[in-house]
Amino acid sequence: MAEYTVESTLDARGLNCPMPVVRTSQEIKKMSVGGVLELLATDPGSVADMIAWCKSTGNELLDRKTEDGVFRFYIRRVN
Amino acid sequence: MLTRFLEITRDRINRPLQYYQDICVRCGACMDACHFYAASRNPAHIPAQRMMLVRKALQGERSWLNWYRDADRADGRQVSEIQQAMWECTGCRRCATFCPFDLDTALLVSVGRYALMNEGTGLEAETGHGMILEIGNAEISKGEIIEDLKEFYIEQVKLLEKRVQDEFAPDLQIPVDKKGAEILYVPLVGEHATVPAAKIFHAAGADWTMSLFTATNHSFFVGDMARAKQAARLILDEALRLGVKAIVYPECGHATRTLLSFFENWFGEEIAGIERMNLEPLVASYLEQGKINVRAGAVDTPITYHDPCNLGRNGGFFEEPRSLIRAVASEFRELEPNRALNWCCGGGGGLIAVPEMKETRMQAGNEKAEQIRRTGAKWVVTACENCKTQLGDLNEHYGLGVEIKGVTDLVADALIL
Ligand code: SF4
Ligand code: SF4
Repeated sequence: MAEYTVESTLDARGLNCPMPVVRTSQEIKKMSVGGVLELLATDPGSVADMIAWCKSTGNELLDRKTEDGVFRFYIRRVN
Repeated sequence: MLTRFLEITRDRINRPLQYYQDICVRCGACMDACHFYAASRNPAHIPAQRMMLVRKALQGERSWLNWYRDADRADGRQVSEIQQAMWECTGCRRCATFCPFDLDTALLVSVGRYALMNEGTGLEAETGHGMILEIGNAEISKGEIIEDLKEFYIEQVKLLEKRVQDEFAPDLQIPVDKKGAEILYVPLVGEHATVPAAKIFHAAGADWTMSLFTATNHSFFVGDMARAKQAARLILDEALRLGVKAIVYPECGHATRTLLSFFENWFGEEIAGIERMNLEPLVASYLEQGKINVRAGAVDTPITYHDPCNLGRNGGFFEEPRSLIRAVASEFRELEPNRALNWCCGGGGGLIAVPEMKETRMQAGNEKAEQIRRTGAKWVVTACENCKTQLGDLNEHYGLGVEIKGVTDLVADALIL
């Protein structure tokens, strides 16, 4: 993994729409600026949603990977 | 105070809205129709009063006869009342069903929300509706990233497809970006909005492809019709690019409302050759035409159906979901009242996405919880994502001991291949 430490992990698996974005947004706001959130999802739709959310809010998507059918995203809080 | 709010409201008050405000005779027939007022007894929740608050604020602005009329200066108290009146509404239009003149408070609420949002008094932070804007913006941003993401997205769909093949049918496919397909199915975030639909399309032998986007349109909830149109345009462009014959929206009330009530207005000729429909009536037609078969009596648990406001009262789909439920469930019990008079679940209007609104939502869902309890049903089935989340929260809050499901979950689980 790249050189960052995860400050908080959010499991968005099985959440109804639009809860993955809502929970991520809430969680990020609780974290320190520069902190990294790890997000877990299994659904392709939430992948696209999260990346779009990062783009529109200016938060930084550091990394993404797939392990055993679970997607992991690493998002840095920018502001 | 409220300068921008008044400017925008004045600007967006069209003939019907002017007529609503002028014609209301304060008969009160709408009063007990609103689940917010039924639970809170807060006058700002009375549908007619919601309209009146805006009217008074507008009059306070423009008439020198203020002392004589019921005009009111936009002071702090009034601002907070208007804020409640506009945000603590699910746009369910139950009030309009009870009003002898069909006056549609929800239409004014949509304008009022947009105007409040533009007032810039920091109300976003207080009401938390900034979250709705945030999601709406992300929906539009998707258009900019989708090309880069497409390959990765399709790869992920293939993984999902493999899982569904293993559990359901080895030859099932979840096509994405398929040119010339008949149906463009636009899902929601979450497997639950993809998998049952994929099973049903497979069983029906439908020629379909899944959208790269999702159907939700949060700008619609804040009355920002320009941005709502921008998000909808992504779907239209995809449909045109693929050359599909129909766009099918999933179990999502507000999205279906945008598709069926606004696309034509927004896109005119461009959309004219493309049919628009919701998944429920389409699946009901598959069943009726014998394109799919289900095991009758597959479900013997007592079951009830919640009419989502945007599908039922505002969309006219009352019988289609019922015909699907009756085909698989042996013990169907109606909520009372139901169909056009059904109580809203309390989670519509975008409120589900606003964490600060949870308590208000739970209060506003009191009538719904009681309705469900009276049926003694163990499963509550519905056809809208917001309703599902809200019903799940109500289940926990009121200790109803039920399970929440979608109509297409039931059908997909009972399919005979
Ligand atoms: S639309 Fe629904 S929530 Fe809004 S005022 Fe009317 S009954 Fe109440
Ligand atoms: S039912 Fe219609 S006319 Fe009567 S108070 Fe309500 S909005 Fe006004």
